[in-house]
Amino acid sequence: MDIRLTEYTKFSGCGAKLGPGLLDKALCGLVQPNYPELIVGYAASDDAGVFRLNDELALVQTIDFFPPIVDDPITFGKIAAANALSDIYSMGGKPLTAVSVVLFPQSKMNIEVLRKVMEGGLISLIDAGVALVGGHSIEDDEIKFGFSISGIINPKRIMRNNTIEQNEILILSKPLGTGLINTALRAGMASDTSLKKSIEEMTRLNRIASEIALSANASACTDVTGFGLLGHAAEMVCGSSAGLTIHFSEIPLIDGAIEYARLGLIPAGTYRNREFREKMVNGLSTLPTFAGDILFDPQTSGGLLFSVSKERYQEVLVRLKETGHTANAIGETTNEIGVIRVEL
Amino acid sequence: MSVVIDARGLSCPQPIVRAKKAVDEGISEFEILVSDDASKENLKKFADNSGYAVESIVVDSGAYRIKMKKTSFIETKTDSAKEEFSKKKALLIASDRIGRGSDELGSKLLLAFIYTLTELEKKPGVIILMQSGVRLATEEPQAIENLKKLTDSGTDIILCGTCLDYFGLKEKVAVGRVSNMYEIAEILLTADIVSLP
Repeated sequence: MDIRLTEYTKFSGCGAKLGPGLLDKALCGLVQPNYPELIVGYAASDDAGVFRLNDELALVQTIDFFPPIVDDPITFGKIAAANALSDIYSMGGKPLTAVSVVLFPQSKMNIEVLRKVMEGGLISLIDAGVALVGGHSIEDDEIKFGFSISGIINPKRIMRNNTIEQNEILILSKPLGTGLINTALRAGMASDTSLKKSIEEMTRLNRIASEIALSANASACTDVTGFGLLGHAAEMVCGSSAGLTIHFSEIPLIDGAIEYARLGLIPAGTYRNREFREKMVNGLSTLPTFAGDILFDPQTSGGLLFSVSKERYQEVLVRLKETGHTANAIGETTNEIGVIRVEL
Repeated sequence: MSVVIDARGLSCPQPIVRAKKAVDEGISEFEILVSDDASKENLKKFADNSGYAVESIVVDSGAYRIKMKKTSFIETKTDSAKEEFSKKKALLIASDRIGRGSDELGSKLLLAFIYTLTELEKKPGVIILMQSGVRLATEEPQAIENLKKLTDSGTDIILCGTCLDYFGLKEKVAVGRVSNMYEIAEILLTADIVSLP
């Protein structure tokens, strides 16, 4: 099949997300009754919702779907599943069941494409030990695909996104650059090496990284997706009792990311992310322009970003690297509460 | 001036694809129309790193009309251009005076040096201003005037962005273009460098 999925879509991957500023406007002030069992709700801007069933067990739920980020339908399915599962992993949960969400242009696209996308999705679900229980599909102008995932979590061991503590090290488990590589792909300028690495990272499950973060007692964890590294880092410091300093030169990057940023192959989402969060970030103007474009690059199925004690971070890095992750310690928490700094 | 590329309504990265096509075809001056802010910003970055300068950006019936012109120094990223590039002299000025001894003498010497450059037949291909050297392009009327003359005769004047930030001079740039350590390092490693003491 020679179909190129990304030619059929205006936006791509997590870059298609509604801008964070816009989303805030839509959600701000909405109220529902206070359910005592709802431990993590939408007001928390966390990765998934958590609902307590009993003292040892809670339900953890999320949904994620998006337009194609790659041309190959099977690969797209794999990435969509890995991306949806990631929200459960970033909370420290164990995903159990999946429901597929399908928007499909049946008049424009052969149904065989959907079959392959589903096939790819199933490969990732099986890899994660997650049962597909059903799905819902509707006709739309462009193909969009993803999953709602449900899982279980120990309510005493939830990794929230904004509970970082001082004197800790910040770990990122995957390299940045998928938004830029994807834009370069759509421009026909992406190199095979960059594409291959980008796909390898986007299809990688965050399962093992989550286990490593949990076992090292990470104080906070999130996954880096549509809001970019700094967007998600900003969520980590909001309401926390610490600040963050991030060192650009320590951040693992997919080959080509810098080159594509310098050529202006930058997704529109980068600018939305930047506009929303740049006031919170100190030091951006001291970095080269491309660094800012990478720090706000919307990621699809990005890595886990978590904070661990200075005593344990080296062991965490060793375990991540042994399990094939391109991970690094990219910064540290500080005593400047609510402040993010970036340095070269 | 006749080449106009209409990229209105195209979402990113298509405007870049169109601009790159023009650059690859060797069109040295063109205008491109885009409808959104992201595409405008992307084109500015593309120009900076493709040996083009953005001459003007005009808002024209709901679209941006961006005029791009090839700069004389970094032609394109092709190997032959890089070779030509490396043959030219690059001048690194990392202070607002020349040498040690008398500060007053040092700054006079530097201003005289910049003036002398304008009189020479063989001018430097690029002048990189770092540290307090950025004052030359922001606060020294005489140096600014002479640097402008050098720009007119094809010298690429590059200012260190971090240095401008440090001295609070970013708003005062009167000549040259602001760049970053990445490009500066690249030039220092490629070109024939002369560094002022």
